[in-house]
Amino acid sequence: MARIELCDLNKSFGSVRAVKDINITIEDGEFVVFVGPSGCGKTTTLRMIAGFEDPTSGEIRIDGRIVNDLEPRDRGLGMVFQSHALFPHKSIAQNIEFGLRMKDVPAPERIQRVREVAEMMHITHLLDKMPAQCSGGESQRVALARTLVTNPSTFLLDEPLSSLDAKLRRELRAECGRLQEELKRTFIFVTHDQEEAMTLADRIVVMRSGEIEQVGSPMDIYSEPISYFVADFFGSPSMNLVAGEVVGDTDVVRFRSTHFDFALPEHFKKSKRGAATFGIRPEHVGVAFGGKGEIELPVRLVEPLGKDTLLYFDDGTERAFIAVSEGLEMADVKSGARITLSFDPRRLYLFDADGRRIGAATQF
Amino acid sequence: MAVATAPPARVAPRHSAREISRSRALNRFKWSIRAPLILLFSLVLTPVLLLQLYFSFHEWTVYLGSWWEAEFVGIDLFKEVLTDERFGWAIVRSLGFAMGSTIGCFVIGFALAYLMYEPFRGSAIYYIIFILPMLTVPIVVAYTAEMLLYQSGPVNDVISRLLGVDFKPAWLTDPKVAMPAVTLLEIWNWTPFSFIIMLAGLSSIPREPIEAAQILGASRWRIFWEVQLPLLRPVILLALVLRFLEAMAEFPKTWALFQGGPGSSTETIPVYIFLTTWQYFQISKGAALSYVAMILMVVIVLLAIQLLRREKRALDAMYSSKTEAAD
Repeated sequence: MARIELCDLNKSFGSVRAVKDINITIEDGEFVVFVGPSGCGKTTTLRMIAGFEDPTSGEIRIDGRIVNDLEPRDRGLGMVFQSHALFPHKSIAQNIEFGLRMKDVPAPERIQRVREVAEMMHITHLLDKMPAQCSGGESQRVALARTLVTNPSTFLLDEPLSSLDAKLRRELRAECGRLQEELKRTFIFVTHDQEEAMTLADRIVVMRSGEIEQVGSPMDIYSEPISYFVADFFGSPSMNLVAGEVVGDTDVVRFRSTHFDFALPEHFKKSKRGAATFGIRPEHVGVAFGGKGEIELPVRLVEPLGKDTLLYFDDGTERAFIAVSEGLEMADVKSGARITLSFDPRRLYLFDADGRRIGAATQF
Repeated sequence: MAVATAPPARVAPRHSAREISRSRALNRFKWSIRAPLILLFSLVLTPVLLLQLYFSFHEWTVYLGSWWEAEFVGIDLFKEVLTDERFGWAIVRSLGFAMGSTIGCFVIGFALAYLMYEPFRGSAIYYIIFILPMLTVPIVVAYTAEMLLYQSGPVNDVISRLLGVDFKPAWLTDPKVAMPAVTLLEIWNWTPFSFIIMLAGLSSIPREPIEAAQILGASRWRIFWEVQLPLLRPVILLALVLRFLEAMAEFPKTWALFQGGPGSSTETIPVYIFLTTWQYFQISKGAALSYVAMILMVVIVLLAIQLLRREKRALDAMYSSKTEAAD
């Protein structure tokens, strides 16, 4: 059982502020994913929770108890590292057993528990091997088992999957999810991969240059991004974002960019006029030949993926404007063809010059 | 992991032009390194070794006419050397000195390295201080020690005052204390060497396994014992072997302080050879002694290489690339 609270947590390395005023409470049994680009402070935050880094200021509480001055081993946490961090000179069984030995668990019980955990992680066939003889995926399973066996209240996972190839990553991602469901423990997972965050998390913490940008469920983060940064970070293919300006008088409000100009839905009427970025996810862009729609753009490239087709349009920026069309209906469109695009009015986003969301409150 | 099946019989590989030019370049590089060594060896070492070999089979001292007319005595000199009790004691003394100083250097050097490997404010100053002894010329160490260590000298004086009792070992004149005194000086002189090697070794251990051990509940002591020490094994061995070989050949301090005395209490192998050759002018016996000492050292070096190779193999196996195993 562990409820982890971070209060006004700060960490500076010299003059660099790596983590700024982090405040968050992670509930018992929750799967929280810290996500953000490299250098956003997510790993530093995790290492402070683990006890490897001392916060410059602020408090870390586990179940209400301040643990700032506790050694990592006294915090009752388990950690899995990106590099697996197995002991290369010990066999897999000895690796898994290590934590139990450190806690002076008697030998027969150790053997029993190592076996149980190995079965749970499907690595019984590896027990007599050395870490160097295991593949990356196997090593990470062992690392998980080694943490699991000590029965920690909370699992800290520092980009545990990023050194694996795509297939293994998916496989172990599912494994992590399954483990958390079975164990009902608190999981704090750090990653720079938005897809991992979306699939695993109960709650996502998006971090950006040392600060929390947004906290919310995967669906919240995806459909209600509070800023340009979050909108851009989540989703694959990522959200179409076009710079331009909001213009118009009290009755009509329009969005204008170098290549197009269209009327914004009603609820943007009261929005501030001026420079803004318009955003819409590719799946919310409707495509039709000569149909009704907001704008018309020339096709640059067509990518038939089978299940759906990606259409890349030229919107005058370097970044193509993408639309997803279901099936292979649009697969034969030639590049250069002009197609009418319609926007789902409820899925339209506007961000101001500072990257903050405009008109979010009236959305639904 | 896939079970390795017998590799398919290889067809004689056809060498491409690129492979040929590459192997040529590689060859040229190899010889550019080898050639100077071979040249140096044949011009300098070989004549000396041959001359010494000649002397070890011919009885000659500086009092006896021209060396090329010396009398051939077969293996008499080697017989003499191998039955020479003084030489036997010299070997024992050298081994004792080398082991004592090696262990001393290692223990202190490792301890200092352990205190230093995590950077802290002002660590650079400590680093410089710890390195200084190694930068001191051995002969200077010896003469400085002579000034400090005489019986009513400053070292004994300071220790006496600190302890409050008379502390007056005759460092330089007591046959029982002389050898330990040189050993201590050797330790002082060369601890930095072990310190540097162990510091490099400690800093090269990846951080994650140590952190993993920490969070799994290991105390500092357990981490040291179960994670750091085993991972450092090859480095430790290297530090010990290098130091031991050097110590076996220590001459300047032992000679400058004692010239083998008091009595014969500091006659190590190099000192005894020097005495025989240049004090007693028994050039031939000196040559035979050198040969025996050389063979002894060659044996030790070969053993050391064997040991280091084994460690390296173990290390390679430990860190062998994961990608190989991934298939």
